[in-house]
Amino acid sequence: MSKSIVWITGASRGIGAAIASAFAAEGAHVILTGRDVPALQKKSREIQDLGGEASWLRCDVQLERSVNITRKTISKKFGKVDVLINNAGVTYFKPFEKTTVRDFDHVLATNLRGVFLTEKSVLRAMMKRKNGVIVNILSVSAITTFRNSSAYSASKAGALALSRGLRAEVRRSGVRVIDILPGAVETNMWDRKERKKYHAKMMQPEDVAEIVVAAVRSPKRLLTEEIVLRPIAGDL
Amino acid sequence: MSESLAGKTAIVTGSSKGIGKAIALSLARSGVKVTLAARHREGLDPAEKEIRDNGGQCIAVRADISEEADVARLIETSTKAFGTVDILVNNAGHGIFSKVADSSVEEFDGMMKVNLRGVYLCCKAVIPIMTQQKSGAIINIASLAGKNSFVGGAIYSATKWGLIGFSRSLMLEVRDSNIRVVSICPGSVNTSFSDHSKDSEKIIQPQDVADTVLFALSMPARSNVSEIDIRPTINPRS
Repeated sequence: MSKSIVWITGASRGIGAAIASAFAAEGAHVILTGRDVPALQKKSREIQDLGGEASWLRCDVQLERSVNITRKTISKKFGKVDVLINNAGVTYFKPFEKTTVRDFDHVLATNLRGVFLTEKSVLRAMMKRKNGVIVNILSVSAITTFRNSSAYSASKAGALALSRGLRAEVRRSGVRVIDILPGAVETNMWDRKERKKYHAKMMQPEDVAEIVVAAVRSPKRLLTEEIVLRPIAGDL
Repeated sequence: MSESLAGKTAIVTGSSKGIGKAIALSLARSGVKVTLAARHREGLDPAEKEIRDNGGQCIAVRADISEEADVARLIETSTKAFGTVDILVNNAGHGIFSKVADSSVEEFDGMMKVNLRGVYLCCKAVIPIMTQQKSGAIINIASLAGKNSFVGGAIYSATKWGLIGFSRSLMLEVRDSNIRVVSICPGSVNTSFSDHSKDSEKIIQPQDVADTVLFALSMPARSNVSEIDIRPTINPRS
């Protein structure tokens, strides 16, 4: 992993921040992107204070221009993206009936279209170099039915289908696409009351990060395509 | 975060050759005390010798896992030697590929007996032990044939779809007892490409599956990797 450039979206907190720390600990240069600049700065400093190599850039994966500028800036300032981690994600826990068009658009624009945009931005260079890894942090909701998560599940199922199609197209070019489908992880995607109630059952961001690093580090000729990850203590 | 495997005990079925042997060797190298199991003695002896020559601890038991009495003897011999069972790797499998119209009832029964009944019997025998010690891992070597369909694979696919269904339900049943259930689905049968090249870069190697077993066993304590799909990246130029 040493000297690799790892771009992590949604890296200011939660799973993305944990993934950034984990790759930095392996010697990678991690590029943290997201919308919350102070949080990105804080997390980057934290990694640097531990001796890691971290940089941050503001990027909103909902915007094509923002994604493309980010990718170009990374290439120009730091080098080619070796690993892209699509982690940025949003949700609203609402019944379908209460889900507004705005909610739906926001979830789809981030969780599905955002993945498409970042993948598209790095793909050509990865295929040319016949090397590169794309990891998508999806959710078990892509393959399991939950109440109050219809738009979120649709976005994750869509991203899973998108990934499967992409993987089939690019695997012969040596580009690996890996999907991680975690169950409940304790992040601020959940409100405080739920986090308190389900703390013992939830996985921690570091758990997901450890698995992502292990999957990326596996030998290049073996492709770990999909990993379903559930809390051992049971579903919520 | 991740648990060390050293000092744990494992039973690996179908371990006289191929994937099972690679898994047993890898576990032994990680300090796991391994019980090898297979139907025929002749393959077991060299596998046992190889592990011992490399400084590993192991015993070998001749057992047909589709027979209840054999499974009982396997578990008893293993616990007598090593005290308990921490890890069960259900690897033994049987595959004959022909169209349904051309297949025999014996082939159907043979695959069901090993790929499903055998796994059921082994799980049933170790779950009380694992439940009592409030920890354990059951690794089922399934196949991407358990998620896909292809001509000539109806019976084999049925056993592996069944195995994945079995694993998913079992995972929900036993995880409260801190027992992990993991299905590893290697894509040894690739349905999306007509090119079944013998190029080793394009075919999953036993060691790849063994590495994935270790990967699944070394996950953080709070999480249970329940399914892992693996296939060759297919990069002939690498």
